[in-house]
Amino acid sequence: METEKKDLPLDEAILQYRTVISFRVRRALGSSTPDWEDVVDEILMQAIEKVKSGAFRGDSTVGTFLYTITSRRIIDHIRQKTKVLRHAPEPAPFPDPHVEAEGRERARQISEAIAKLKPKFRDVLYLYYYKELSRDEVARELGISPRRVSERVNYAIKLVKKSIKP
Amino acid sequence: MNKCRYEDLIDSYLLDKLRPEEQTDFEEHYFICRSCFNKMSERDEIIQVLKKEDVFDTQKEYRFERAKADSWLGRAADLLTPRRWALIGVSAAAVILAVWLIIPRTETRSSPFVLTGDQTVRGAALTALSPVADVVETPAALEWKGVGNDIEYKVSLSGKSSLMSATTKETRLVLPDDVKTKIKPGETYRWEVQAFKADGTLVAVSGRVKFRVRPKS
Repeated sequence: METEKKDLPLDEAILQYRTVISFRVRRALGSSTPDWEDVVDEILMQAIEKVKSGAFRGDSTVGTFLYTITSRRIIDHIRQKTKVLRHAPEPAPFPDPHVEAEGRERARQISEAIAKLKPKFRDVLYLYYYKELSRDEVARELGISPRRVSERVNYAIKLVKKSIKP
Repeated sequence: MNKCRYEDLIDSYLLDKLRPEEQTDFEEHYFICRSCFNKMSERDEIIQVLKKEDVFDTQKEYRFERAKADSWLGRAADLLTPRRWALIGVSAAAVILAVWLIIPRTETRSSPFVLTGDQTVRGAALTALSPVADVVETPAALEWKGVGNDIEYKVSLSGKSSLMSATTKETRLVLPDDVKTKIKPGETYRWEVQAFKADGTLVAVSGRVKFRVRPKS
């Protein structure tokens, strides 16, 4: 990730981390949290300000620098939220219809792709991801080796990815 | 391209199976590793659907097909990688080729006389002399090499069915006219000779000899 950003100005390189930061924030706060996008924006703004003020001296990689800011901001947000929730419940998020429709379409494609898989691949996805069994447990359940479980999981994911429109 | 050592942690991270320190370590890693991040986000999308969508029809208690895995054939198939399958295929082809090379491909010769239970062959095989291959005209007689004095020869001639059976002390047998008329050009006929001593001991047998009268063009 670093190599691609070497030639970019630092603030532009930081903005390219939006996807990674969004993933981390959504995972920590939950994608149903209404203001996760605001948290991401705050993190990016904070990072750019630090670069401008000279607080980032390049001792670490941009990735590590952003990871640190993201992790701190997530903790702050959770603390802050906990205080707010004690006094008033969070309003329900207002979904973006366009984003929602797009998400539903992707989910439909993935769902169809999984349904079309051979039973031996569906079985392994069901046990490994849905039932959250370990590889060894899945192996015992299906009477195959743990290595074969990994191969089937990876191949099933590959097939699903292949059948989803980009 | 070498596989990143963190790749194996992707599933465990997405399924919240990592220890806190492993989780922190991995989170820091995907901030600096595009490959891991891309793989993780792709997989995350699929897992989210797997968990949220009714893909497995949980209401009907999704039943995965264990029959195949439970059968010994299924287990054997699972143990065999494509490379092993290829090796088995090549080996099988080699065995088939070897068998094909070993087994004579010419038409198998008819067995000599089928001996009855109380018959025992003593001495050399009897040699048929004529006819032994394609002939231009219907043969007048069957000839063979004698195996000694005071021997009686039993001669049989057959086509699609038995044409004649006769005995003689000569080493040739003139074919009767009624038999000759039954021999048709283009058809294959077989004849054979057994040699007996005066006391009835079978001393020699010929092979079953084939001949054919060439059709006239």
